[in-house]
Amino acid sequence: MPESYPPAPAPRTLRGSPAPAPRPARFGSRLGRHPVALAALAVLAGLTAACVFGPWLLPLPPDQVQLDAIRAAPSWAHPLGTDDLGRDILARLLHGGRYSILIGVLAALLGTGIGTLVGGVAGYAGGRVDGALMRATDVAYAIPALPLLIVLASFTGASPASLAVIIGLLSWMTTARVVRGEVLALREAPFVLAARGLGARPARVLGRHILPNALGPIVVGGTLAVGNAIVVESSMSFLGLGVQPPTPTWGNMLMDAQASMAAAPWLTIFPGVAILLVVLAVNFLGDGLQDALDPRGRVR
Amino acid sequence: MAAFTLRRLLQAIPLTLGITVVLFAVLHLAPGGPEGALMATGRFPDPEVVEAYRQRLGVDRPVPEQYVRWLVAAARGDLGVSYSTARPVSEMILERLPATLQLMGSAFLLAAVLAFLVGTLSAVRPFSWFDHLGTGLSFLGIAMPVFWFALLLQLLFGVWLGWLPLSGTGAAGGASGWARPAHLVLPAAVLSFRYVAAWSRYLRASLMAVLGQDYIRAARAKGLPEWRVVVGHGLRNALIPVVSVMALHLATLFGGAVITETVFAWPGIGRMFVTAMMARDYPLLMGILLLGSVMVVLFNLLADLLYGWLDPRIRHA
Amino acid sequence: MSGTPPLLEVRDLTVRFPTRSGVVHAVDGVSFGLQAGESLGLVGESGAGKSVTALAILGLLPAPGRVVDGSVRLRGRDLAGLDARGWRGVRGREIAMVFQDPATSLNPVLPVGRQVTEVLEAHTSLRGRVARAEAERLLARVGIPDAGRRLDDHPHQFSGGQRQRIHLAAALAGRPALLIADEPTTALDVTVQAQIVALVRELRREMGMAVLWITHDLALVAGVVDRVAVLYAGRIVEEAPAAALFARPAHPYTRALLASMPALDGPEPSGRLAAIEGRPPDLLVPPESDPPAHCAFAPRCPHAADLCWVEAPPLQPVPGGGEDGAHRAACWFPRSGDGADPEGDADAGEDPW
Repeated sequence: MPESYPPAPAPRTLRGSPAPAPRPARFGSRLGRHPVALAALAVLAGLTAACVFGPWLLPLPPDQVQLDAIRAAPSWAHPLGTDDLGRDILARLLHGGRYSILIGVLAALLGTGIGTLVGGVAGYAGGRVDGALMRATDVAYAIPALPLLIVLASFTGASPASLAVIIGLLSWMTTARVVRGEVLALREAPFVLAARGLGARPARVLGRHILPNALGPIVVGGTLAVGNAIVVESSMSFLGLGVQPPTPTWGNMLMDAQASMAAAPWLTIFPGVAILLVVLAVNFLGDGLQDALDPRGRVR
Repeated sequence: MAAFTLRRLLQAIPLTLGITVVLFAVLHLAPGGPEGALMATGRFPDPEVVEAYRQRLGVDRPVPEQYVRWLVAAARGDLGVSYSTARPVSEMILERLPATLQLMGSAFLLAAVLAFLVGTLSAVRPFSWFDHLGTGLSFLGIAMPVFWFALLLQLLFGVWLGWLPLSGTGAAGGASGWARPAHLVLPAAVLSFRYVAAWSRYLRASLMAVLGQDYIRAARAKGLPEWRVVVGHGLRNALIPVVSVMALHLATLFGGAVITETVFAWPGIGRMFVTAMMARDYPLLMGILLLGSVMVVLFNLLADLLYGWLDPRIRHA
Repeated sequence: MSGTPPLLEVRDLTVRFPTRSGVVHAVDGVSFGLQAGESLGLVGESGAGKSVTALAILGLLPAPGRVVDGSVRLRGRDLAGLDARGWRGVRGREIAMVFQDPATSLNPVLPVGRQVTEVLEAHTSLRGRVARAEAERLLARVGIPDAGRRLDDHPHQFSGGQRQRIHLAAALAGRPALLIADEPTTALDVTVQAQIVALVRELRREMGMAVLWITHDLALVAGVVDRVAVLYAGRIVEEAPAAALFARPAHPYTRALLASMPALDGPEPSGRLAAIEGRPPDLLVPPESDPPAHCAFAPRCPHAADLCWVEAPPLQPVPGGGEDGAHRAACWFPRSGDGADPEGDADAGEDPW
């Protein structure tokens, strides 16, 4: 057929478009137009601060057993109640939040780093290297992630650090695909050709000229990966296959809560609210960042 | 369409081989290799089983040969012998497969139907109260951990209202087999929620873009009823990008089943995976992972074919 | 005037698009009529309001467009009050429309036969195999070779010209009394354009339907339409029988349009074609301000006088433009500088007036 045909419309929610490296001032004012994203940032900052500093300020340590206050309903002494051993839920939540947030951030950093490297090399090298790396990405996508994580975690023992590494090692695929797309679009850009023409080595061209311009989607993807990693970690801990008691995490607190769900529903509710709050905030922040970092995005 | 189907089938073969390589490597990553994993169960089953397993693994052979032997055996349906029960893994998996398929199938259907309804209504009346409600619930559905949503529904409908059974299938003796409908409601709802959330938003965005196209205006100018314009002309075009998103999400459906089956004591493969993990039963774990991966490849193949059926431009390309 | 109302009567049609930066006065008091079987050319530059007028007639204005004044009557019946069901009886059945770009106006995922039979199912009693046979007949009639075997093919398997023929077949399936052709040839090659124009002319005669041609290309409609209405900045600036308009254009804008087109059947133009100086006016009226009162063409008009900058002229019969006032123009000084127009002189011999 001689005529070209328009491609099917893609959903607008798909991420990824070439962006010149954002200047901080403009970026700040762009994010400022997203009250929801700013609120999400505030929530995240507040929760993180509470988890980091809170345990020092609270009167009770997270593992203090109080046999006279077993499954106590929320009160002034225990704002979120106590669990089956009379441990203070607020103290455990804040303490557990340290691990949850730390694992989330570390895993996201690692996964985004690997994804950027894989996608960057694949997109820049092209040809067989690209083909091989993208087939590897397909394979990694096809293996159900959570069961594979559980098996790998059983090899290393499920300490918070090893969990962060394993989750990070298995959450690079989306970033890789997005970054590859960015690099493909930027590879032939005039300033990249100029740098290559001046004899810059490939690693330098990729690291100095191409990737900084693909920063927007990388940052957005990394932000969303934090929420994802927190959910994965809590799921594993909930199944009893992640962080092991007595170290409290939001996931294993919920595992404990199952037994006394009817008698002490607050045990089920509060840790879940914490996870939901963090993940919602991360997602809203990611949405705001996406708009703020994409110069072609909606301008209000 | 036949050539298109064949092409996609051929593309699935290297993908499946790649998966088997990774899974074999994982098995060998276990401390001490597959043999060490056997010892790590800490139970030291009877020496006959150990010896049979050593024979089967061919542990004295070079690793590539071990892989080929493992692959050939797996292709024949021989996934080895469980450490914990000394029964063939494939037998154990087949026993539990119907329950898992019933759960995943119902969850997928429920998610697809609800997402189509919500996404279409939201796109036809964008920024209405219904659309805003859909957007709000979608944010919740995407952010809510599956297991916590499961606990909340158990608490609400099982404990407080007492409308629905907390767990199990209601089948005699808790055995596998077809579950009673009431037992299926909560697990299927839990497993489908995040997909309803994600797919309805994708469909909304896609359909809104499609409804602005010239051929939609042309269809209206033909005097067709509005529902035929939206469903007959709009939805089919809008589904094209959504189908590929759905296929991408299917890999996570299996992980969701592991959690959902555990919370609801559902006698499927997912729950068996968790018990196998507790027992360090690596042959069983690997068998389940392999089955899950092959299911993902198959689903993606189906999605590709659906894609080609929806979009004639693809299959003629 | 006789007792029977015209097939289509558009009176004082006014369409506005409220936007954040002001209100766009897209169509501003347009009136015209169309008798059964008659054909009218609606001519103007892009943005003059041609397509908006057509979409308003069919009640298909895109958001946020709204008809704020005027009426559209079909056989004397006001279309404004129609509900969804009523519109279904009009669209495709009484009034059909073909659009500019056949590449985007046909649904890419549906077989072309289906896109014809769905109209038959909506407006006739034909179903199933009978509908398929009728679709085949229609596609063959519009010139799709081997139509019967191509019913299940998809739009991307046809050339641009063929797609426009298919689009036309679908539009004609409901045997409409009026066909609105919205620049149906703009997206096509020049040779294909002429074929499509000839096809519509034949079909019009065959089916006895009225045609509203919308185009920016005066040359294209010259031999096809009975009358021409020239649209500028949302208003009709001149309306006349086709021959009169080409022979003795009254409005400076029409004259400029004619001067910018190559001779119809003459040799290749030797000299340069005259371009119209300046740009069409911005129809956006910012909030808190009033639309300009002066003649919209004044900024580009070589003959603009003081009066033109004070008040916009009404559409009124041109002096010497026939006794029934069929030739009308919205200009204070119609035919100014008439003698200088070589086009008018050359065609004067054929002028029936």
